[in-house]
Amino acid sequence: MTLLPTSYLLRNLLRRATRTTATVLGLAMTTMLVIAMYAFARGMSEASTSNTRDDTVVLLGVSAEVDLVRSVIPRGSAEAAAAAAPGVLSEDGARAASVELHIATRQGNQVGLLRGVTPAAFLVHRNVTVVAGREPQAPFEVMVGPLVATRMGLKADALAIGRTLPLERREFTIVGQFAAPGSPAEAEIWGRLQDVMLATRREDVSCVLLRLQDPGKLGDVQLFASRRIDLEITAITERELMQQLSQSLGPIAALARWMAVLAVLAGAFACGNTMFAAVLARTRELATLRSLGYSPFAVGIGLVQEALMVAFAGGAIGVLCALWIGSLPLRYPMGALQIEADLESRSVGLAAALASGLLGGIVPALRAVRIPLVEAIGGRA
Amino acid sequence: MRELINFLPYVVRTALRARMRSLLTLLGATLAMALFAFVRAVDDGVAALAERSQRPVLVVFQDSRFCPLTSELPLRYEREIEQVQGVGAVLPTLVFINSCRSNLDLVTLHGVAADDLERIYDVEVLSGSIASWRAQGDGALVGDRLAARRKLQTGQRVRLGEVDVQISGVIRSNTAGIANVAFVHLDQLGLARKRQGTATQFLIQLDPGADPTEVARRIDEHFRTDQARTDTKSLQAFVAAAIAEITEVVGFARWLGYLAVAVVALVLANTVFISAESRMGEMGVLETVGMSKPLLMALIAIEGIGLGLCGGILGTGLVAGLLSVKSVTLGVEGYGIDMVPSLAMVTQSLGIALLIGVLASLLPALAVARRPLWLGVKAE
Repeated sequence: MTLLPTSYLLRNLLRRATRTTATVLGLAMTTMLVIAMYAFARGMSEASTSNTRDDTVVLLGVSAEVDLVRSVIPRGSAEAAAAAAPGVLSEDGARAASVELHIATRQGNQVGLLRGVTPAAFLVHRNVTVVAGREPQAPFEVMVGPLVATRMGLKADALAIGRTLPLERREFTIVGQFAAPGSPAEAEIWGRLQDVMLATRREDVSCVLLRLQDPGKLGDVQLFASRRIDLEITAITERELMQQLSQSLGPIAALARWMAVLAVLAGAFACGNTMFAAVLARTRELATLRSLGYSPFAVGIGLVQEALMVAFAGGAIGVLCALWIGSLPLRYPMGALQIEADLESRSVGLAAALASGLLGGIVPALRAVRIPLVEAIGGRA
Repeated sequence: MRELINFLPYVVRTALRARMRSLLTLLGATLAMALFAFVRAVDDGVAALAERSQRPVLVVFQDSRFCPLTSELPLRYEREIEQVQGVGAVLPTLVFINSCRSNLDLVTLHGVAADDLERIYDVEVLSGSIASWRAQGDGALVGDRLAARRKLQTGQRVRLGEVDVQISGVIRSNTAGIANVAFVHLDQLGLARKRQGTATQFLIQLDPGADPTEVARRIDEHFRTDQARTDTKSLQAFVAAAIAEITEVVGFARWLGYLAVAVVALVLANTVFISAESRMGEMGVLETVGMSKPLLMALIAIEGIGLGLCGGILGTGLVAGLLSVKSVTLGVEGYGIDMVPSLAMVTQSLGIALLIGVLASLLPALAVARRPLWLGVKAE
């Protein structure tokens, strides 16, 4: 079977330059919409869950449900649990058991997420790396994550090393910057546990994070938590905790996904519209092609190819625009994320554009090949 | 104008003649306008929440605290606040919310002293009664949005925010956030949440003529060295701070809505252009038999405007219908942003649909006006 030459299909598109341009632009915008919504939805649902591990267990206060900010454990109980919990990994004699205090602190209309930690935190949070300066060592020193500026609506230079940051009516000195890719910690400020407790007048902590020798030790830790009723703690894996936390963001991510589906359908209708018009305007021409020996299938494939070319052009422009816009920092309640047109989002955007082209091209193509040849030559569509 | 109206059946027939093309345009416009209308509903919800917070009420919260779950003030502050000059009435409130994060199933419990409720809030009882709530230790007065969302009825026994309550009544109030609140007794909530003797916040009704800024300053100064430092703000500033958490997400959604509108405009312009192009000969004939260029332009424009407006009506209707059937509230820091199909949302969406119809028709109509008569006749 001989297919229509690609150059012929291309010339056809260029012959109707205005119409093609409008469709390409429409699909480019649809692609951008899909990329933005997909990246947003993915960012929201993955903000809490990526980089979580099954071998990390969180000990929370028994009445905390799953919210770290709500969890309360007396400091003594937390220290006892950190020292006595079974199956905890040790490195150079130090147990990977991090006693932490999580605080959401308000500065005017901005909210900062402050975490008080001990040196053991770096044994548990392996993805946290100090990328500039150092970790807090002296009183009222902090290090900041890359999304703190977005989270607190500050300019980047306000968080430069050596600057001070007012938190809880105390001046904290920024001594370091850290990265924790894909983790909600990137929007946090980390300080020494005792300083954060002092500043917030807290005598209790939020949780204890344990890094286990292997995930199989979880049962031992849960048994320990249930037997030590005096500590009033409960054990949950970090992955499970974050999944439950991210459930609150799930509906918003789902809304964004539905909006993306609507955008794809709107794009498909746009493309289908153009292709329908193309078929109707070229009934005679398509019939002539069939008279010349091209099979109805070849003519149909040609029309789908045309639609796909338009869709690809639109998709490519949309992807390029998204790349040009780059990443957008976005603050959401109790977190911040970077909306990035990464490879996955771009692929989904381009695939959506091509799907629009395919959907929009198939129906007109079927219609074109179904018209009896005699009627088509007579120009009756 | 009369001539134009006479030609309306012709325009409708033209649109119906290219049924598939018109249908695709209509569906595209419907979906994109639905997207826009939804974004407008979110935007309007934020604006409505801000507007309802404009009351002469002060909120005393624990200093530097973000979420109601983390603010803890001694109940004894009530007596001391009452002594501050300019303070009319004080309502200690213990707040429990099911999540400090954003969520679509917000439940906010306000534990208040039964006799003080009406000193601060203007409450309209839709069913049940405040008297039965006062008499019932585990009673709850539920806001109308929360009642609709959770399908709660007076007399029903339910578990709200981990507290077992019996619904004593459903209420409505013009105060921000109350539509998604369940008022319970302060003692009951304090006991259930192990927070006896503490309040999350104190709401203050000011004396007539009192300066809110000065009263707030006096209160914060009074407790500066006490057990828990306070941060006193007007209800408006307090709600604005909560809304600020969601502002960027709403702003992002707004831009997506604008992008959707741009897609509709392009789809529509394309359709009108194709329609005008495919009827070049027909236009030539109409002009030959005496139809003026402006009338020809108007005929082209009406098709675009009609399709845009129909898409707008269907898309907006779809969103308005869905939001009427399913009550959606985005919770943020204990306040609910209610997505309600308002008249403003419908008007704005239809206005935008009309505008893009006009804009999309402009170029094709001008192209028709500029086309020489002989070219049209030749096409025929």
